Amino acid sequence: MDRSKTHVVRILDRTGDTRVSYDPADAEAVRDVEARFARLMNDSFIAFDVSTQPGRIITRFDPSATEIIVSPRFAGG
Amino acid sequence: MNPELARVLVLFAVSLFAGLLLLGWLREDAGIPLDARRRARRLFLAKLDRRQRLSWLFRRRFDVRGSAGRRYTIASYRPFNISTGDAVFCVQVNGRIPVYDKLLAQKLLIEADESLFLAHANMRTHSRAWETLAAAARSQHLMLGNLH
Repeated sequence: MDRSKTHVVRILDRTGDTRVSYDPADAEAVRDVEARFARLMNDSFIAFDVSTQPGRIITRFDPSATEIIVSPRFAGG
Repeated sequence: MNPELARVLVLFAVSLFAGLLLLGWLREDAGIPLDARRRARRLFLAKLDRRQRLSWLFRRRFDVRGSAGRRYTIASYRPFNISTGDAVFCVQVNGRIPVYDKLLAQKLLIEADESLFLAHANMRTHSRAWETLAAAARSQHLMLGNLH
């Protein structure tokens, strides 16, 4: 495992979750993750920055967040 | 009634109830690969604190504190699985993802933005206070464009 990839975005999906790890100092990797994040937001996913407890909802990618969990949207039952 | 027969009937009823619960659980996760369910369970348990984890393992429910300070109990994933002392709430997570992912998403939503949770939730309560709270949350998030 690449130890420089200290930050992770977990996308909750059919596989359990898809983990996208990246090095925040790697500008190209950050751009890739940011583009993927933007696509998920356009697809109505919701993102939680869980770097701190409690987490917070974010709508724009924050490369300083050490862990982000992206979930499908919610609906009233 | 014959006490032996009564005991058998009670046992049958309990087994039937347990079976139906298990069936409901399996149906919710139907089509999701086993390793995905295991992966989701690991992530879910990792995101609970010690008290929540123990509560989940022994009672299949755990408490969370909302961002506005109210306490909710999340039970096994099903309609209206979130409760307080005087209200029950239903918030479904869209998409074919494992049940444990859905429970995690519910927990994160309540902790991160209780108001958005209330705006999404379908609620059953006799408390006027909860109805007022939820209506205010819905208006607020409709204006912000957070409800789809």
